[in-house]
Amino acid sequence: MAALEKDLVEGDAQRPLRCLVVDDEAVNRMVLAAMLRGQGFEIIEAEDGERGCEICRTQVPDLIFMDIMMPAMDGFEATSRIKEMLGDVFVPVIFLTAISDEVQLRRCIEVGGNDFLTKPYSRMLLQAKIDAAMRVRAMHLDLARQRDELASYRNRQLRDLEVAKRILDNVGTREDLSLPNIRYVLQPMELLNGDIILAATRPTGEQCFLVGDFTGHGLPAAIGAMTVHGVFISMVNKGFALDEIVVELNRKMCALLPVDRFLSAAILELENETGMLKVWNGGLPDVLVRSAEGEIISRFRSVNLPLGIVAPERYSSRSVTMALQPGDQVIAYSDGLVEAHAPNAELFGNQRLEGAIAGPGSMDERFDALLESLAAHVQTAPQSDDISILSFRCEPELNTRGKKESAPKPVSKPPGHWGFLINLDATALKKSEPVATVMQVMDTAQGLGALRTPLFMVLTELFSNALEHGLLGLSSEIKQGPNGFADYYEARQQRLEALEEAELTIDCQHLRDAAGGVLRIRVAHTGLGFDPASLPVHMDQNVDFKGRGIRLVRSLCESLEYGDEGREAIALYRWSSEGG
Amino acid sequence: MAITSSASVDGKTLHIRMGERFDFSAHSALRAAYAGDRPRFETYIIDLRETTYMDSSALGMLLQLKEHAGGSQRSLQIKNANPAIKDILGVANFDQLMQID
Repeated sequence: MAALEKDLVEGDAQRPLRCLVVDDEAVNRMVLAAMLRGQGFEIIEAEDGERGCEICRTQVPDLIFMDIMMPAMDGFEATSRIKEMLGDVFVPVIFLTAISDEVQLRRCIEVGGNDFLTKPYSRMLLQAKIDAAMRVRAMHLDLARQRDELASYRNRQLRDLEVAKRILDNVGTREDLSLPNIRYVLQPMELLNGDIILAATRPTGEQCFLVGDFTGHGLPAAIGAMTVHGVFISMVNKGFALDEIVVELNRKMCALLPVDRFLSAAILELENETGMLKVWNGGLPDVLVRSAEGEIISRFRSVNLPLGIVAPERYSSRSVTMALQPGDQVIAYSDGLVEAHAPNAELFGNQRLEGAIAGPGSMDERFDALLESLAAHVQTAPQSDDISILSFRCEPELNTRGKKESAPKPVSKPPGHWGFLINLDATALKKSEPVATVMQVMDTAQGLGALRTPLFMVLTELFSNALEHGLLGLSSEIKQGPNGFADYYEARQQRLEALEEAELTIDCQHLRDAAGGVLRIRVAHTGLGFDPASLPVHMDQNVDFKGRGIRLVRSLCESLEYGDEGREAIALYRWSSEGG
Repeated sequence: MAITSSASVDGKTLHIRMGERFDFSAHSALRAAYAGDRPRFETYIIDLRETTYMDSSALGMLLQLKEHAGGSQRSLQIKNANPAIKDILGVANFDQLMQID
């Protein structure tokens, strides 16, 4: 059928139109054939219905004239068979008959005929009927062509989208989302998702998450999602701070998205060991915190503009911190969840959402209850927006810190002589945390490979100590109060904002030696000193928060010394080169 | 779902009243109301007294209008929004970009 249809649709401009005349009277056939030939038709004759059907099987005509009363098979039967056989291919059938009984004439149309003409007929009336039939035929051909074009366009587009989806699925590494304290659901409305959920882990072990919702769905959103994915994962892996990631994502989205498109998102950071949660919400519904006992204990409203609206130089970002207890659970979701509608158009809403997640039970049980409640509400109603839900739990025992205490491993590039020094004043300290930048400089000087994680931790600890204890005068005792970490970070923020006169120096010098190399990291500041003798020396001493970082540095480095009455820390880090 | 617009007598303000649904179907009508041959006004007022439904593409359209209007946060003003719509604008923190009464 397809080949026939193609032949008809594309047509052969040179081929004369073919007309089948079905009549048992040879004289009738002759008269009509003569008239039609005069108009340029090519004529095929059939002496009864059965023969007419046979001809249609091999040569599809462009027009059929059909008698009613014939031996073997009458015109009604023949017409209904031919119409069935031709299926979607439209060939007009005009009945020619001596019968003027209205019931019979009506039957002509019922069996699939398109018109009738009673004998005797005038040449003029015949001509009018032919013109009308050919006009309808032309219209059918046009429609069929448009339909086929549309179908082939749709198929092509669907194939392209499927390929795009496969590429996107490959881009999104799900590794960090498969940690045991995480549950998530991404339910796109179309093939491609306009929502994204990402997870990545810092070298220092904090889990970072992003739940995002692009304006619009489909391809444009999916392309944006690829960029977000790249920026977020690589910045987290390099250890950038949450606010720096937000600023960079906003810059990228501003450059990438048209004016009327943006990315609503929540970006979250969890340090499992201490329970410190940091939340940045720009345009997503409230991020919820559910206690291990099942109560909603906190809500983080959207207090930022979504990403990609305000130019980088005018953008300011606000994040909030909170201390979680072990087992506390965080839930972030796109508005597609609360706006999912039932067949009667009623929205799922906040009440159903909170009803499902509140109450006793584990995170997994409540998460499943939420999905069941959503499915029960929506039933068969079509989805009108992408839905995404992320939930994660504070689990102090969870080891996200990778190779925390592993021995230094060989690096790929042979170590050389290099060094640099960075000075930061109060203004620079307020703007950014320099550790990730320092790491990048080191990485350029020498491929760090597996040393990235331990070096990042050493630098982070030395820098935080110099800033927080030295320059800001914060005491670790604050962390031990009931709201320890939240109070501590709040105080840190306040004092940093008020900081005026300060200088902090990071000085890295690397020397090659016979076995590999030794890196000397010196971090000095102009603030308060302390008595180095008061520090615990071994990892197993004093297992509280105080001095935790310093013990870590000692365990990773060859040596750690203090000078200038505690205002200067010098760590020596040694590694061996490959085969050396 | 008609959008009507009228300029103030002093020619400084364009008042645009949106229809019941403020979503993608309003796109070309809204653009026609402020873009094209029309001169640039100092202030644009989007009146949402009749609007009961608004989606995220409407937020996008407001950003386009905001870019067209340029200038301060006061150059685009949203008036008579119902509580549900104020909520949507609030979650997106659009009050930082335009004046929402």
